[in-house]
Amino acid sequence: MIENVCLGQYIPGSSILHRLDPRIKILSFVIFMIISFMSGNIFSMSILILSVAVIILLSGVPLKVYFQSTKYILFLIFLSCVFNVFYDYGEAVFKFWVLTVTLESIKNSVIIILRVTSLMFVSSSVMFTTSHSNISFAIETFMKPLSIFKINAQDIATMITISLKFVPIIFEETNKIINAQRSRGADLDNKNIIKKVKSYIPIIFPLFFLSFKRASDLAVAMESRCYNNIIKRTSIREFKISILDISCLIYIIVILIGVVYCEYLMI
Amino acid sequence: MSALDIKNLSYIYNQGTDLEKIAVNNVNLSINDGEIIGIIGHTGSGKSTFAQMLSGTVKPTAGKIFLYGKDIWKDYKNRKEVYFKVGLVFQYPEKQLFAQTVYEDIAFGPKNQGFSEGETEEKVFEALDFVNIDKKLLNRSPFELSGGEKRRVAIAGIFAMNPGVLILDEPTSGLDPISREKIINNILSYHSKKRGAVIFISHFMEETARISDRVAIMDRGKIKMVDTPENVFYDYKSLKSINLDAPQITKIVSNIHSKGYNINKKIVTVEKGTQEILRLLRE
Ligand SMILES: Nc1ncnc2c1ncn2[C@@H]1O[C@H](COP(=O)(O)OP(=O)(O)OP(=O)(O)O)[C@@H](O)[C@H]1O
Ligand SMILES: [Mg+2]
Repeated sequence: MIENVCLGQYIPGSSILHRLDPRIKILSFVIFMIISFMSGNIFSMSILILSVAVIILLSGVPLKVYFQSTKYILFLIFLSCVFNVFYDYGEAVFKFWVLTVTLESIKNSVIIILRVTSLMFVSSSVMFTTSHSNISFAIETFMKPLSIFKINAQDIATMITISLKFVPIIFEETNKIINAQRSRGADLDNKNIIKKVKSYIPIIFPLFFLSFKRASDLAVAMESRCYNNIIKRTSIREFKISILDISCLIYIIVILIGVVYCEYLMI
Repeated sequence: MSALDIKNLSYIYNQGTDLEKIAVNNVNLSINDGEIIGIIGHTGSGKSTFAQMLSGTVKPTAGKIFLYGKDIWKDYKNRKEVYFKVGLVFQYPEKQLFAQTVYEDIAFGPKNQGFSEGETEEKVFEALDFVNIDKKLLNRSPFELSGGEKRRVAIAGIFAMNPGVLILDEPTSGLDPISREKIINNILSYHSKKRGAVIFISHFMEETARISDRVAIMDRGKIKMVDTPENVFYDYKSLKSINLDAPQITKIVSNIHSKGYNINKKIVTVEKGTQEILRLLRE
């Protein structure tokens, strides 16, 4: 059921993750990215997986939804890692026809799968638990320093919010158009790659048309309500850093230290 | 034989999550060949979901659909066989127009059905006749047409495939009265020539009453009632409780009836209503 939860959708709730300050969530996510690319041995990997499990638990969103919303991307990554296994380097474990599988390549593939899956899940957990306006608030905060280069943080934040809001809408629209063209006999499951690309024209054309129309309608609607970048807008919510936010930062820093220890200091 | 037999059909969105929503709830219905059945129901009652299941584009969560006696998810090996037998005009079908010219857009279905250029052309012209579109428009881009014209081109795209069961999901919504009238007449002219079953979903009680042999009422995913338009609409006060209404003329004769006059209150069309009121005046 692909019409279910799509990538980057916000799921309202009141879990611990929902209650965190959006700035802290984004900051923690950036640190988490560093953590996941650092971890490469069995100990740091275990810490990584454990911490992801805790985050998923605290998000209050069922694990099933995580898999559902990322399944296509996960599938692609899995596929590329399977090919990576046959990439010939290091010590051979077994040979089969022209294919050689090495211990090194298996290890690398497993590490990549775990890293990317963790990243996907943690970024999903942020998206699931943070409303779009809160995300844009956080982005705006982090972009403020850029104003010395004459970049307007507010504009960019608005742009990002709008794009995020359009993702699920376009996703649903795509599903509808696919169904409509299928029922007119469009051959979307063709194996031949050229035919396949061609068969998607009846879907891509209306989709582009609708997306551009929607974007221009929105621009007109915003302008007619006097949207501009001259005045300074304030947020409807005041964010204060709470004990919960501090604990989150401590949690993520402890993990960072743990992984650094496992990677560089432990022998 | 019935064209469609629907048995215990259900559809649940986002099953197993907090966002779970039962859109269609255990529906049973038989649709006869040759009949026009109207489906009315408030916004969100599950009409579109129901229509998409009937066309085979959406797989039911539970239940079965038999098309001319054959289970569409079991006895048909090929999805396309179902698509070609059941034509669905989606809600806002003008959104699916894609080709560079009106001709190509209407020809998309018949071409996919495997007809030759010559046969396809015949079918496109026949469909154009049903929807009353000027042949001069054939070489225009569909995106340059007006809303009503776009809608009729999209409907012609389905007519051209010559489906035995035709489903139209709110084909008249968002159009002016004249365009609505035109579309209704297009559907009637298709039906009078091709027969077959027509399932007509609409929020307009007048037109539903006018063209339907039977009317089904959908309320929160269930079919509440299926009967002739007269029997469905005459008790319009109970329809109000499920956010529906009756044609104006039905309410008028019903009000006259409740004032103690001897008038038939099972009337849904303006013609019949006029006759009945004139008869009463003469008495
Ligand atoms: N893609 C979806 N994901 C989740 N829920 C959905 C989805 N599409 C529809 N629903 C829900 O299913 C129910 C039935 O929707 P449906 O579109 O079938 O109603 P409808 O009777 O066609 O309404 P309308 O008259 O407005 O077209 C609604 O409550 C709707 O919120
Ligand atoms: Mg609908």
